[in-house]
Order: sequence, then structure tokens, then C-alpha cells
Amino acid sequence: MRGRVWHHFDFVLFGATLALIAVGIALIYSATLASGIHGQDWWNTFLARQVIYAIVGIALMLLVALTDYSIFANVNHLIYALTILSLILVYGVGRVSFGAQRWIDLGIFPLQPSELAKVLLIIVLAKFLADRQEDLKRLPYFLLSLLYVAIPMVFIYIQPDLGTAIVLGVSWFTMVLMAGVRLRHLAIMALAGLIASPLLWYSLQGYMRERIFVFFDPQRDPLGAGYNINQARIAVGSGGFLGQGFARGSQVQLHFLRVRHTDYIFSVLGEELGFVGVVLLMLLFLVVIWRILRVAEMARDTFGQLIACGIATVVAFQAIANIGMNIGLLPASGVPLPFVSYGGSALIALLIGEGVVQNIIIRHKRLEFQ
Amino acid sequence: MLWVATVVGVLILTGRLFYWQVLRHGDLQEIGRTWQLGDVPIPALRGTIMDHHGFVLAMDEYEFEVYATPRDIRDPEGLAAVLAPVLGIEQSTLTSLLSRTDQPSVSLAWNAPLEVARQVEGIRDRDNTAALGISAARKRVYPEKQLASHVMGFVTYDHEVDYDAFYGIEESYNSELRGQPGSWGGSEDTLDLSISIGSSRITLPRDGQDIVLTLDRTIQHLTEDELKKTIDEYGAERGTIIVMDPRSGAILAMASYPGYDPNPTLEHRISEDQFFNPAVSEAFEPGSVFKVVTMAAALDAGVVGRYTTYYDQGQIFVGGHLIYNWDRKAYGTTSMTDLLKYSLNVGAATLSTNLGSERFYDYVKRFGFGQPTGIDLPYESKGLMRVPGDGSWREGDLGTNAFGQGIAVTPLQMIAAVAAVANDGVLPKPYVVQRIEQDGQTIEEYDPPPGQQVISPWVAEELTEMLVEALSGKENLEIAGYAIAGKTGTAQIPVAGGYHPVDTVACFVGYAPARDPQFVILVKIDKPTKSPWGSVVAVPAFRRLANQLFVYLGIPPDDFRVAST
Repeated sequence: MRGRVWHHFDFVLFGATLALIAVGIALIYSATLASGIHGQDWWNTFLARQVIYAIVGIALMLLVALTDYSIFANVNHLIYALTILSLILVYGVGRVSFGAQRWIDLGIFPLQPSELAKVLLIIVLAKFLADRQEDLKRLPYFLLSLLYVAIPMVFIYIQPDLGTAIVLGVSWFTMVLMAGVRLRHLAIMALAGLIASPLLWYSLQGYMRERIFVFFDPQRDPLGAGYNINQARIAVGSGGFLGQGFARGSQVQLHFLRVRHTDYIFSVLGEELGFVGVVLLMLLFLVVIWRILRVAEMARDTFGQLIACGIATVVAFQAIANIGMNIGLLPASGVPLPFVSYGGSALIALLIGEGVVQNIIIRHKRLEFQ
Repeated sequence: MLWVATVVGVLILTGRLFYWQVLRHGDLQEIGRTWQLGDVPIPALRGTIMDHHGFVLAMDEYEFEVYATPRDIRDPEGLAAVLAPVLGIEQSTLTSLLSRTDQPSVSLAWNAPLEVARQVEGIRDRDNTAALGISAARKRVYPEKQLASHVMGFVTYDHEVDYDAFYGIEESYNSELRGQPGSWGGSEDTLDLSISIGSSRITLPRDGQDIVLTLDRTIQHLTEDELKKTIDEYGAERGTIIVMDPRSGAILAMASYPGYDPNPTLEHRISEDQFFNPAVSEAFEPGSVFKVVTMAAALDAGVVGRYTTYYDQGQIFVGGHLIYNWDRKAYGTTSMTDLLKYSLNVGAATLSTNLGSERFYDYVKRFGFGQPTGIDLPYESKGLMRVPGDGSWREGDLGTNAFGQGIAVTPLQMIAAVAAVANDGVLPKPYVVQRIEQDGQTIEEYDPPPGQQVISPWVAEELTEMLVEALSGKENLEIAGYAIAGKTGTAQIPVAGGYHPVDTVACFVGYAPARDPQFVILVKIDKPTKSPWGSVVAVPAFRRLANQLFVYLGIPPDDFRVAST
């Protein structure tokens, strides 16, 4: 029985994920090479912490993979409530860190609830949608599902963390589409959104608006808001076809590129390993997404299908949004590169999500052979 | 469908990457270089200035500026709470600073030590913010504060790449001390200058060379203490003491009061005159100490011998100018030694007139007067000396110059001239820099050039005996076991239309041990109020200082030395 579990475990997905994590760790090493603080404990470096997060995340992934994912269905209300609670908690005990309250300090590990929320909300939303698949064709239920994600989205949006809020919204969109809502309803919503967009524009924080301006005109403020976009593009462009060599990128090593171990880690790759490196990285992402979508097709129930679909959306959307931002194709959104960017909450959450996906495929096979 | 969307998205990204990385690669690399070159300099550390034994007199230290860009801060209060304990600034003050979004950047701390800078960097890295910046700056530190300030000079303190050096060693050796600043592109990585990457675009700074002075910190301290004590005791205005090794010309101590603290402070508001080194930049009328030169010239020219006498009438006409002795008395038949002992102006003028102006001024010039000594310090004065043929010279000058009136010399010229007598008639060239080092390795050692023989060795020896004898019996100069040669001087201070009725410069120049001179000391005290006389004011300072030098330098008493040679 146990042996059979491992037999159905998707090693291709697992391998591609490990490869992404490994690339991420290598790039974090390179990006933080020259900023080591003397006398700092070795375990407190970005590199060591990411390695620890990866190990913890993989362990949790395996644990989740072996637990029947239907138990998530049974406690979905609890998960939803806890997610909302943790987002609220951020305001109470959250650590204020340069303008945004995104973290809860757990002592050894600053938890970022919004990262965890992405994955957890996909699971509970999948349950919500799977339970009401028929009702969703009716407008009130459609709107209810929107409200269901809108509540945590608002909390995340006002942190402020526009990027994560958008990821949630996009996940909702693909999932309701998959669950079979009427296109008419989506069209109505799109129209409503269009009408409300001026309102939305004014609700945007100043920095968000500035980022959008800068996206359209990066030279607007080359030392301010446009700085990162320009520097990232210079870094990526300097890489050329083969790159400047690992740990040898001048933009990176001279610290022109800021937040280089998180949001702009792709530019580190671009500068140091060149076009070849970035194409290989994108291929790895395609493998991961392909394998997760394969699970969505093979899942034995709508619940599993929707989960896999949601996770695939998170990975795909974040990867594209992040890379797009790095090369100036999309506005800066602060969305990390999945599995690669430094950050414990995001990595662990994604690995848990992938554990659920693995779980689905294992259950699926088991059903077949039972 | 999601798959299709993803693949399309990836293809678009790939196309864009191909465009930037392959097609536009060259352009962007060029842009990157300009950014990186962007003139961010790496300052070179200015060289250290040390005393003869390696004690630090001036050195560079790092300090750090911590600044913030308020526009990148969305929660000034939160950041202030984290930074306040680190920077030791009131949290409310910090909050208001961090809220100044009208400013592109605000400075939070100007001279934070390395530890604080590292903590700030830790906060910055942990929170991933571009809102905090640290920049390293150097600070020139003079650990001994006022000590030898006139020799040291100072640098103006700013956060730019280079210092401006003013006065003293700092100025005269600026090109050796300053080093070569480097440059690179990263303003971010200010704490880690040792970064190495596979690109040759970084020019590492070359630190300045270190300078080892001839000054001895201990002797300088003793000298400054004695100077201050003497000035206080006699209610004087200012003064200078120089200690020199007559054999080489090495300056062991050079002190002038009042000095100043060259450390950069906000109270750096003293008048510019005070920065000049009076020992080399200020000429004064030396008075009777100059009789040493006159006597040396007369002896060397053979006009008189050690045991020659002259008849002192108490007055003498030179060029229609009547010269008196200081007490207006006539001394009758007087020996050359007594001429020195009683410091007789009539006698000195007798010698100079017997020499004649040509020979007299020839000797005066050979002793180095009228030209800079060439010491390695800036703004050296050559003094003021009228000579026959330059229009302003008058016959009477030949008489007054003989006893140090109507001629202005620097303290350094005066001590060098007396040192020539101490040094077997060879005029030493004074210097203050012994050695230049780089990374602990000597790259240039000063080798004193052989000085000019200005009088014959035996005349120098004879004159020394005369100076010792002239001083014998002066109770306030006696140091058991050591013979001292020297001459006192009480010079009037020239003012418009004549001489000041009261103010004097009390002076003493002497060397010891007289028969094996290890040091020459010049003591010059300006405008003493308790007593005008060099013999009263300047001599005790010489005696106390010499006494300490015998002990400090381990100079054996005369009897012991004579016995052992």
C-alpha cells in the first residue's frame, strides 16, 4: 500500500520543483554574496534560512501528500476562518516593516499570512465551488463566490499588497471558469469592473499608481520609482546570450539591483546566466505547470480538479507576472517568483499546495486500482 | 485553456527576453556601465603621521553617515521605532525626520561608528528596503589634540573624496599623504569595500603613505609643558620653543603657544593667523643672541682671538648712529668672553665695524640668515635683512645688526645658526620628516645632506668654551654635571617709528652638553610682563627642559663621558 503511494507520486513534478528551489538557492547565494554582515550567525543568512525553509516545506509537502486531501474539505470553514483571522491579526501584532504590515513575527520565523492565504484560500474556494457547482450558474451564487474571495482580498489589499490580492482574484477567475459559471456573468462582472475602474484607480495607494505610471514611462523617475525597473532591465540585458557567469553579474554584485534576492531574483539569473539560463528556468516552470494541470485533468472529483487548477494558476500567474515585471513588460507588483524568490511563507505555502496536488494524484491512482 | 494561456505568456516573455538579451544586449551593457561608473568614488585612507617612535599623531578613521529617503517609507513611525534605539535618537525626532517627504533624503546620523552602521545594514537587509542608506566617510583624528599643532597642520573635514590640507605636514606632504582614490559603481555596498568581481571596472583606492616625523612625542610634551608654564609664570603673551639635534638638523620638538586643536570641531573658529607656525613663519628681532653670530664671524675672520680685549667706552658711533650698552655703562678693558657674558652692544658693534660690512654680512648669510632654511614645512619666512647695496641699508645697520637689532630672523634660522657652532661649524639643514612609509615598509628615508662649513671647527670649539664660560656663575642655569653653552637675549620689539618702550622678547639659545652637543634649544617668550629679561624669563625654561632631556635621552654627565673617551 505504502509502496504504491510512492509509485503514483509524481516524480517529474517533484523533480522540477526541486530544481526550481535549487536554482533559487543558488541565486540567493549569488545575490547576497557581498552583503554578508560580519559576525552574523551563519544560520541567520538569507541562504541558510532559505535552505531551512525548503527542507521544512518539502517535509510538509510529503506529509500533506500522504494525508487524504478530503480532510481539508471537512475543515474548510475552519481554514477559511483562520485565514481571515490571521490576516486581521497582522494589524494587531503584525510587524511593521517599511510601510507594510505583512508579517506576524513568530520569533524564529516571520510569518506572512497573505502568502499562506493564497494556497489555503484556493483549497477552501475549491470546496466552496465544488459543493455549489450547479448553483453557480445562478447570479447570486456567482456573486457569493466572488464575495468569498473578496473578503480576504480586501484585507490583503489594504495591507497594502496589491500583487497578492490580484493573484487571488485571478485564481478565483480561473477556478469559477473551470467550475462552469456562465460566461454572461463574467462578462457582466467585467463590465461592472470597467465602470468602477476610475473608482478603483483612486483607491490605489500612491505608490501603486506611481508604479503604473512608471511602467508606462520608466524614465519618469529613474532614481525613484523607476529605479528598479531600469536597473533590472539593464541587468537582464547585460546578461546577453550566455550571461556574465554565476556570481559575476556586475549589476547584481555591485548592488545596483535592489531587492535582488526576492522580487528581482529573475534579473540576477538573467544577468549571470543569460538568455540560455532564463529559457531553461521558464522550461522548468512549464514542466511544473504542465504536471499540475495534468493532475487537474485526472482528478477523480471536482474538488481535486479545482484545487489543481487553482495551484497551477498561482504558479503560472506569479511566474509570468514576476518575470514580466523584471523585464519591464508588466507593472511592478511585488509578486515573488514561485519556488525561486527568497521567502519562507511563500515557499512553504507553495510546497503545501503542491503536496495537496500530489495527494490528488495519489488518491486518483488509488481509486483506479482499488 | 489555462495551459494555452500559460504557454502564450511564456512565449511572449521569451520573445521579450530574446529582444533585450540578444538583440539589445550591447546597448544595455553600455547603459549599465555608465550607471556603474557613475562616479561613485572609493576614498583612499589618508596616511598616518607618527612621531619618531611610531606614536600616532594623525590618522584616518572611518565613520558612517546613515540617511533615509522618506519617499520610500510608508510607515515612518514603525521605522523610527526600530531605528531609535540603534541610532540613539529620540523616536519622535526620528519620526518627524522620516516623514519629510518634501526632502529627497534626510541624514539621520553623521558620524555613526561601524557597529551602528552594521546594525542599520542589518535592518535594511532584513526588511528589504531601499529607504535606508549608509555611506562611509573618513574622519581625520589627531589623538594628541593640540600637541605640535603648528607642525601638524590640519585638513578640512567633509564627506567628499579628498581632503583639503592646510598648513604643517598635512599641507607640505599632502601629495604623499592623500593616496589615490578609487572608483566604482556601487553606492549600496558601502560597508564591504573588499568586494571582488570578475570585472575590471573597479579601481581600488591606494591608501596614502605614512609619515614618520623626527619629532619625539615625549620631548614635544615636555617642551609644550615648559612653554606653557613659562608663559603663565611671567605673564607673557605667546612663545616658541624649538629643540633640535645640531648634528643632523632633526627637529625633536617644535612648540608654539597658543596652539590649536586640529581635530575637526564645530568650534573651529579661530583666526587664520593662529594656523601659521611662528617657529618658521614669523620673523623677530633676535637681540643679543645674535652676538653669537657676530662673535663667530670675528673669530673666524681672525679679527679677534679668544683672549683679545677691547676698550669699552660705553658708547660707539656707527654711521652717525650712537650705540650704548644695555645699562648705558662703560666697561673699560673687556675680554671677548666678558663681551658675551655682559652682553655688550658696544663690543658687538666694535667687532662688526672691525670686520667691515662686506665680511660681516658674508658671515651672516653663511649662517643662513636672509634665506629660508629649507625645512620641509610650508610658509617658511626668510626673515628680513638689509644688506649694503640694496638701497635701504644704512651704515648704522652694521652696528645695530651686530647685536641683533634691525634684522629680523625666524626662530628656526636662529637655532640653526647656533646649532652650527655646536656642530663644529657646520650649518645643519633643519627637517621634520624622518621617513616615508607605505604599508609599514620604508620607501624613503631622509638622509641629512652634509651641511656647509660656515666657520672652522676650532673656532666653533673656542666659541663654545667662551659661551660656557660666559654663562658660568648664572645660578638659574646651573645643571650639576653638565656644561652648557648659550646666549641670552632681550630684544626690544620694533614698532612704527622706533621700539616699544616696555615690551620685549625674552630669548635664550643654548646647547648641551657643551662639548658633545646632543641638542640645541631655543626659548623665545614674547612680551613677558613680570620681567623683561631673557636671562630671567627664558633661562629657567631652558634649564628645566635640558634637565629632563638629559634623563630622557640618557645623556651621561660630562665627567663620565670624558673619562670614558
